[in-house]
Amino acid sequence: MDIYNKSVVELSKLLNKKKVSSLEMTDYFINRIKSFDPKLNSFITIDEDHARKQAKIADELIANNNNNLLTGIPIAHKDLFSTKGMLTTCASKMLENYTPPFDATIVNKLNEVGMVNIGKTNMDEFAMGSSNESSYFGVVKNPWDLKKVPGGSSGGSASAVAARLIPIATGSDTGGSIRQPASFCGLTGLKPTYGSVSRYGMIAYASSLDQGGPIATSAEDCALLFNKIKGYDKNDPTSNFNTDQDEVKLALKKQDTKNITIGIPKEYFSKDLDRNISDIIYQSIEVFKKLGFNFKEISLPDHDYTIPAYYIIASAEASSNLSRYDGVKFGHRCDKPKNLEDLYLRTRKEGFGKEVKKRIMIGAYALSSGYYDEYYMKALKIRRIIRDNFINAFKDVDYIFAPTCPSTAFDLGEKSSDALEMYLSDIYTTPVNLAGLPAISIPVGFSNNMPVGMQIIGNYFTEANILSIAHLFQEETGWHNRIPEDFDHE
Amino acid sequence: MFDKSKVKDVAKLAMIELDDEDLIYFSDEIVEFLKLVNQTDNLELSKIEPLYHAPEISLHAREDEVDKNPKNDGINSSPKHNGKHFIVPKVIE
Amino acid sequence: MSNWETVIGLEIHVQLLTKSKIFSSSSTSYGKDPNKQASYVDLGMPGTLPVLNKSVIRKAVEFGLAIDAKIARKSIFARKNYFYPDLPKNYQISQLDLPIVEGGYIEIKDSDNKNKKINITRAHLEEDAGKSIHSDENNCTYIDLNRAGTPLLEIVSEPEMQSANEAVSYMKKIHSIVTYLKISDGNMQEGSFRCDANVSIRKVGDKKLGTRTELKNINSFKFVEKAINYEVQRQIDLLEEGKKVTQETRLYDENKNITKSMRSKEEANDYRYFPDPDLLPIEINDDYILEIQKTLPELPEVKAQNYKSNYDFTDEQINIILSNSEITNFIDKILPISKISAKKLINYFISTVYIKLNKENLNLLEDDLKPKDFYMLIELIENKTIAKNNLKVIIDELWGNNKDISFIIEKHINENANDDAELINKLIKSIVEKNDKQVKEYKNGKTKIIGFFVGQVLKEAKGADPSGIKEKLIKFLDSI
Repeated sequence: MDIYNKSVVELSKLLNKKKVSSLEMTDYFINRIKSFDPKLNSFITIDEDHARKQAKIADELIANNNNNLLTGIPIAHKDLFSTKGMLTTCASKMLENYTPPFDATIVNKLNEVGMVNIGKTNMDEFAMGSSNESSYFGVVKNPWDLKKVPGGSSGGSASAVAARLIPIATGSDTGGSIRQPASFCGLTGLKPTYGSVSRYGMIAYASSLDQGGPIATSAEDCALLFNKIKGYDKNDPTSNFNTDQDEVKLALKKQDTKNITIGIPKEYFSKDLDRNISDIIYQSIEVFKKLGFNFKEISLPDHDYTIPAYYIIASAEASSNLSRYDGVKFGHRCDKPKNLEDLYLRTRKEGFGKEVKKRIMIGAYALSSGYYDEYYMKALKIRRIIRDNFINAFKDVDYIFAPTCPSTAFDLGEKSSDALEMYLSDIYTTPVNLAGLPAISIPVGFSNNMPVGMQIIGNYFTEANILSIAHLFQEETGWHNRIPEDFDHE
Repeated sequence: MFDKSKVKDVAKLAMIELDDEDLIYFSDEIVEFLKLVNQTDNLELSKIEPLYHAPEISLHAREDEVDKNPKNDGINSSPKHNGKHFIVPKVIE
Repeated sequence: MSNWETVIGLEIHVQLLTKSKIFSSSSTSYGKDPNKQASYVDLGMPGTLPVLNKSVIRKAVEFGLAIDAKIARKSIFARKNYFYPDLPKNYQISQLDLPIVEGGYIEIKDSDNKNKKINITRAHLEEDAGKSIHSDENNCTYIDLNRAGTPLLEIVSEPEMQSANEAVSYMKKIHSIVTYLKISDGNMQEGSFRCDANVSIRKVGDKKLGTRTELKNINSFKFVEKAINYEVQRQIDLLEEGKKVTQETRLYDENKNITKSMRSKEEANDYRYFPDPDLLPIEINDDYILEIQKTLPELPEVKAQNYKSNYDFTDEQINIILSNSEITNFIDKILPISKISAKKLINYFISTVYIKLNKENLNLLEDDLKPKDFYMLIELIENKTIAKNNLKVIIDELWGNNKDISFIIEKHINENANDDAELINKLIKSIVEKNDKQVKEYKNGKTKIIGFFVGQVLKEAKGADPSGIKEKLIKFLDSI
């Protein structure tokens, strides 16, 4: 029986029917990772002993019928989620040897429902990147074409799930870091409403933008995970008290779709968008129309200002969040510091990669005396405009469809020397982060043999609805079931 | 004008040591980035309030209670400590 | 007469009296082993986040109301970014724009003993840093982060003080407010109340402020006075020599009684303040403020005025009554029911309860001693039912026990009766011996003369029981 090509829902059924044990499933995926990951480099840490321990506990729960839909299912966590006793590196030399003494809330919640944590996935250093080329532990490859990037910053999670080395993984999304790799790798990735998933234990990049979420092969699987990780956390002061406590149910039926209107932002489908991509998206819109949804053109102006605003805000927050890495309390420390200043200067020179240094400096500059208004304040005002534009649009339509990326996955090395081009490729994902809205990226087709993703964006706390819409589409189509040829076997 | 000397200033604020090669690299990169930001120059924003968080919610404060199970073993993660104190090069005041 | 005038502004950092820290639930207790009271949040470990302690908002508002300041309905935490080993995140969470308290004032006595208003610019919340211990022998600095995250209220005055005396007066006033309201324990030795002084001088009549220096972390009233006096003279000397005063931070050396320049850590640091994205704005509504206003005790100065107008207290006594709110509450409960003079009442209190509190380092709590019980004892002393010198013992027995006071009093009345009996017997004997004539009259049947003897005894033993004395006299006279 093939295990690798099954969704979490299907694997859960197998476990429940006792057709396979969690331990067997865990060993299966561990072996698969060992065989295939050298090609991808999607994992930084694998902890077999820990995983097997958890699997045994899960098997007991299953034997006693004390299990739920996620019990015993193997998972991998993006390496910025603190895992107690397990290396958490943020793909940085700065935290190369850092083992947290506590679990992130997300990790704790998933441990408690009996998931089996196999290891930590590769990412762009400190979550700063859109291609997973900035990791201290080497680039990650896209399983669809090993010469191409998997996207970033959650490139490791996306690559691992796409190659079916793991059925589901966690990622984080600050400017598109779940959705874009999901799009590049033919996966389904959810960025929840800001504040609905706890950031406690999630190593911070940009505090007012970061959100953790699932990367999986289907909306159904994403919903399963989201149900368990969402919720108010008293340890996270930005955690939203109003997060819906109810279970997300994929309750949307075909007969209800006629009551739903979806907006298509005209500015997003301009000449800057690859023609092939827009064609594929329009084709999928046809599928949605057949399902009964209504469509309407909307306007989301000021689109062009998103990228500068996003990068100023994110870099400003990051410059402060990353000040704590100084060789004193945790992480890397330079050798034989001559004095205090030398300790700081050299530790941080050695510990951080180029992109991280750059963003720290941009952030420090944007907050510095004399530039604060011109850069930081201005960016925050643009943020309000972008957010208000969405809220206005939602008066007219219920949800919004948008491309996830202007292109399919690009070649390794193609954009790494052109930062600006890399930044600009976040054009469809960053507005959602600035506004704090929920959005899911689903695979909707292929262009030049590479996956194409599309976003479904909803108003605050409408994850159940956007997941349901995605699910309805996935029941009609099979894009999400496609597996990269090189990995479509045991 | 963002140039090499500005990079030096900013690197000082950010406490990151840069060598000459770095100085050139980062000043080029950041200048490029700032060109992108300059596209926002013509925006009329005087009547717009900054948005710090979205969705906008209010502060949730906690009761003044001491943790009954305090974890004070964080010091073990330090690259240089003696079990009691963190150790840094002598600070001159 | 000096042609220089001094301009002083004070920044006082007050550690708030909360059980847990401002952004973490670590304990705030003083003196624990190094780094044993420093949680993951206090250490700023990756992924940790600050969660605000409600109680600090309350205490800041209480202070604001006490100084008649404006309470911000919306206030914001900001990050002050700079690198220092006792600052775990290398930024301090503080407040810049929109501090929780703005404006307000207190009154002090100036050098001519007249009332002077000192305005307060603002008071804001922030977290304290840890402690550094420098070691020359090991050529390193040891960092203890126990104190990191302790809540502080930074109170900034306008530069309106013109002498070290005024500065000390201001400092004492603030100290009394925060300790009285239990906003802080004000313990300067433990660092709960720290003062920085900004000092400059200028020629009398000059509108422009001179260059100021900042005197840091002075931890006693006495040292503040000395440090400022030294610094003022130092600046005068410099300017009179035609030199300039450098804007800098200086430390006070209490052994040499001088101030010395701190090697400047950095030039005017760009702190890159920005609103902390992990913390949302504090929103306070009118109801909350009203509720706090209602529970706020009357402030010491106001009460002192009231006491002076209504009772015959001395100033010294008033200071003791107002020294802490528990004592004030205690006395306030007795004053309305007291039939003896207020001055006398307080003297009793001071010589017994107050001394006990200080000697045994106690608080005066509800369950320790009830005000009405104390007053009852005073009454019994005044009418000689119990002896004055038993008061301390009785109070010790009552303290913290829920014993019925009448039971304890009973025990001591009998004792006193015996004591007094001894005294009375002696008196009777000596008076009978001195008054032969009246003894003869009694023996001849003039029984009414007993009244004379009773009178004589009572003269010496004021407050004793007359009927008991009469009986004793009869017995004695009949026996001779």
